[in-house]
Amino acid sequence: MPVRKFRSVEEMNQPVWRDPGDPALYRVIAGLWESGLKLHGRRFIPGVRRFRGIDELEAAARRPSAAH
Amino acid sequence: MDFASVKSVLAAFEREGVRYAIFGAAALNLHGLARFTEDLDVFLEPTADNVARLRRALASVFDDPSIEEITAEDLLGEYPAVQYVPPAGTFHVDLLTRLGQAFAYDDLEVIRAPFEDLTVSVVSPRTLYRMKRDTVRLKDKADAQLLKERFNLEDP
Repeated sequence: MPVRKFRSVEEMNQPVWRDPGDPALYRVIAGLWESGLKLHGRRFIPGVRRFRGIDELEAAARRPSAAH
Repeated sequence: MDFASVKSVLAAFEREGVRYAIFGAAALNLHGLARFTEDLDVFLEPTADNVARLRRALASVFDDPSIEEITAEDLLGEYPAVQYVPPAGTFHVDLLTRLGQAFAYDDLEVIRAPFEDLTVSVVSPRTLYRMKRDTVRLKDKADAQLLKERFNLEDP
């Protein structure tokens, strides 16, 4: 990984936007999603569930219902 | 999320002519800000034909009889939010036909955006900003601020 230098900690924490279509964007997305999956290790219970709204769906998604 | 599977799902949507728009964190990724997420949020045009196309698309990717449980009766009726978890259980596809009182499919500004060699339908940065701006989650508010700055968006 190349060395990157910053003038402050705040500068280090700035979000890095890339242009849609830039191959680097998809490499970073793939790496982030795949490493997150490995680190998090969460697995969801397969199947279809229905909800009366997004709030109900998000509440269900936050519950630790999935096996690791 | 499983990058290859998500891409396969979106390629199938395109093949089958599903009328959809990605929103949420996946949309933020496609607009240029890489972010980990466990779900693919998809707004669907609320028609029975479109739900049938969606089922065909998912069935072409996953050998999973539970896909038949995704019905127009639910999505166009009392259950406008349906979650589908594919057999591997590594992510979920959240399917919406309405978002509270605030958003319906026809209210969305949708653009076509690249996703590697695919072109997919995503809500515009302005619509994503509006969706995230008024939610209660701090993370969404922070995302809204980032979108506002990046795309020079103004509040109406």
